[in-house]
Amino acid sequence: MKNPIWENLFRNWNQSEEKQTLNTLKNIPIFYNLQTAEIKEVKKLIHNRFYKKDEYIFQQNALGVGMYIVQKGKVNIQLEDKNNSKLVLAEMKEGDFFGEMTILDEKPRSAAAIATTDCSILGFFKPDLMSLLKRKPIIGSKILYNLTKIIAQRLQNTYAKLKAVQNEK
Amino acid sequence: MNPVRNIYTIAKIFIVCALMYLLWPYIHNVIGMLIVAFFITTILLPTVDWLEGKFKNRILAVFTIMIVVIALFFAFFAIFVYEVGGETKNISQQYLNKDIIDSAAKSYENLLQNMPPAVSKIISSFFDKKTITSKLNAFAQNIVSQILNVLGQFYKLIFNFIMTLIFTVMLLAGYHNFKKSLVSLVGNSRFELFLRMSYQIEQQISKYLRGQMKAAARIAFLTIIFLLLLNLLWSANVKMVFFLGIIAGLASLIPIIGIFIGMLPAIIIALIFNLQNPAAASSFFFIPHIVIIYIIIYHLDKTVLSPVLVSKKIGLHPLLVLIALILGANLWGPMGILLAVPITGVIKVIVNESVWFLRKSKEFAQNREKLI
Repeated sequence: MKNPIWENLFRNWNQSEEKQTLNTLKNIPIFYNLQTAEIKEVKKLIHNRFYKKDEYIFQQNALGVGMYIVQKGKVNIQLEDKNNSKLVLAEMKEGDFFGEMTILDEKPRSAAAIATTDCSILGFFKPDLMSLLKRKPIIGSKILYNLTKIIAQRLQNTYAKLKAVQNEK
Repeated sequence: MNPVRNIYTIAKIFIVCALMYLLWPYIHNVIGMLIVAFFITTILLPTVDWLEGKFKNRILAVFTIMIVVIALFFAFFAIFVYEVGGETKNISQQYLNKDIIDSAAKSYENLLQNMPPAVSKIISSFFDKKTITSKLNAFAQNIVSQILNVLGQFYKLIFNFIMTLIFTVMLLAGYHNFKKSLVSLVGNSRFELFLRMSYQIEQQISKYLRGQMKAAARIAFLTIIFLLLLNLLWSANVKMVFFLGIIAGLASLIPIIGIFIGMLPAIIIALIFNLQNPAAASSFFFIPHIVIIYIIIYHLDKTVLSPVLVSKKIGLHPLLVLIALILGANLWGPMGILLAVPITGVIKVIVNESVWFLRKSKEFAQNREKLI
């Protein structure tokens, strides 16, 4: 059986996985409009993690400091209550991302994320973004701009849904 | 929790502690250098990151900063060699001359005459003129050999300095990669907490150390100004003023006892250069003036300037500071005294962060339960 500690430690030795990571990052909305050299800079900060099947990526209520991108495998986002009953909110597959709001606002996770298969996950966290903003302000600003666009898009969606509910009444 | 797992964890901790105990005599020097390099890195990191943004090249940024640091160190070293070297020659020549010792004995007599009769009687019963003269003779014979002995230890200091510098350059150049590698060693369940904690520690320590360095520079500057004024207004003949200022600044990094360590060289120098001057005896060799000056400078900085200029993020109880200082001194000697407070600060941040994390998680869980 694979041991997550060794998998995480020697992950960077695999060259083909390096290319795969770059391709995955290019397709993530918060890294849109970044040139290949800039994506490579971001890749230096990205944390590659390996999770076994049924292992928690994060638990509900755990404090979050960043987002995760599924590189390989499947992840369930689920709500858990006191009685231990679980409600699956979404199933994340390769290229999907989650938890991006905690980059801006460090708050406890509102739902848990659990690996439903052996998974390879990329993590991008607030301290890394802060360091990037200081060292490579242009790349940092592009990422922040993309994050703002995502938030604006979500605000528009929420507004549209509210309007629809109002109209139904 | 599984009892077998508990036993396994305790056994692991025991083995690590035993290994550390066995290896400590061989590795403590390297660990000390690495810790010093880490603290220097923490101080310089924000500037290196900022310069990297400007130069678009980290190595260039690191070397620019290191050249400035080395230039400052050599400037200090040059002042040290120029002032101490020059004055040592004078002092040793003067003290090898018997007449000077006789005039010092006369100064001592003058000093006793200026004191209230009861006090001078008590002091002279402990230190009579003969004892003072013989002690000064012994001091004069030993002074040159003592100075050579101190200089002989210098090679060790230079070796430690160069090694620490190399560690610092390596840490600064690859800081973000080192951090990433360190994070990859942490298990999945704790790595997000570790990442947040390491970021907080980095921020807090950086702010604290930068604040301390600025305070040390202020104290050095004020000491130089006040000592120059003392020489100008009272003809105090306190030599090596720049050197004394830098020593006072560096000593101020040591909490509580720093003031005394900083004051001591000034008192010794005032004594050495005024012993042959009987007129100085009436002013008690300017020792009260020096003590008052140092107390004013330290209090001005610690109670007025520092609270305004430095946000005291790492507030430690004085008792905890004293315990940390004693432990630091026992483990690493003078370097341990300097590092004790920042290391205690790191431990405090870890404890604070863990408590904050647990409390926030609990609060959030309770709020969610209310909502459900």
